[in-house]
Amino acid sequence: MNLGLSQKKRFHVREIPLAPVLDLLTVVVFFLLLSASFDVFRQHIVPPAQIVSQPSSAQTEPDQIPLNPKLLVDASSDKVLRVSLIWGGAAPGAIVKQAKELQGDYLSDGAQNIATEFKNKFPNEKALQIGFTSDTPYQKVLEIYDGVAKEYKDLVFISNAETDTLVQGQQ
Amino acid sequence: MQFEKPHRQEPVEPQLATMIDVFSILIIFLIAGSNYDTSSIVIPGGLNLPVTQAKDAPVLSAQIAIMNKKVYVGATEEAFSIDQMGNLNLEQIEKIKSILAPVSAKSGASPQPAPEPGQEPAPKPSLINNKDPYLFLTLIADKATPYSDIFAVMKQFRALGYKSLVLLGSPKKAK
Repeated sequence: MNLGLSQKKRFHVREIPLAPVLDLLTVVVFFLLLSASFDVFRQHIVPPAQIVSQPSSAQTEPDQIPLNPKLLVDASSDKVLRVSLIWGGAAPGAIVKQAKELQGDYLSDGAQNIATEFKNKFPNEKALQIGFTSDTPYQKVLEIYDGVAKEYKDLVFISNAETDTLVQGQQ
Repeated sequence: MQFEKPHRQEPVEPQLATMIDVFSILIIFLIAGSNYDTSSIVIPGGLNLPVTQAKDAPVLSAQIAIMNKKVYVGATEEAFSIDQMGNLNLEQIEKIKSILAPVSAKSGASPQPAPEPGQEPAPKPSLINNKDPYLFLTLIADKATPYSDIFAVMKQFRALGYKSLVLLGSPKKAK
């Protein structure tokens, strides 16, 4: 006797086809690998010198003369490598480091130490001028910049002609 | 006689779901960890970039390259002697601007003339927002290039309106 009770339908579970998805992902991975570059370059941005209408920290008191700190690098040859930080103001001074005192092949740490020493003396000074003698190779320029940029964000390059004159004046 | 029925082995199927998981993670890693803007930077053959400890990845900008006492404008063969820096004539200046303009337009910026005395300077450029009305100019130079050449080029291009210079280097590997 047929009571109209048909057998329960067995639902077939449909699976998502994973193979084409995997194909697609493989293609995307290869595309990304070929088109991308990893850690190829790094950069320092040298913004224009800041022009401030307010007086600098050193000029807040009328009797004070601006410090105008300058970091001068004489790296024409490794033998005479010398980094000096000079400043003016009421009590002018200088911090001078020779090649041996600059720690290792990479000058960054030595330059940072000089900048830190100056910053501890004059915590209100926010800007620093840096200059290199004419023959200083670009590699040394970036090494010094690496170190000093860790302490001072406002860095201004001064000309090689001015640096040459100042360095000769020190000798 | 009794014969053993041969065992019917189940077909081995690779676990596709787990493979897709791995691939997805790989894709996220590749997208997050790579730089695509650098494809615009072209390093001339034979140029050795200096090493730097800088952490920032390059921004999209026009480029100039200094090599063998010559300044190569953009990724072209158009070159000027270092001695010409500071003494460029109007025709040469227009040529430089026409080469660099397409990239500058792509980066959403245009050269800004130097502020007049007493005029407020433009705000500092931002690394996050590269659409500032400020222009980055990437300076590529051999690591042995003397500072006098670098400074001459910086001075010339700043005078042309390119305010923020990008000093490019290779990342320094940790010891």
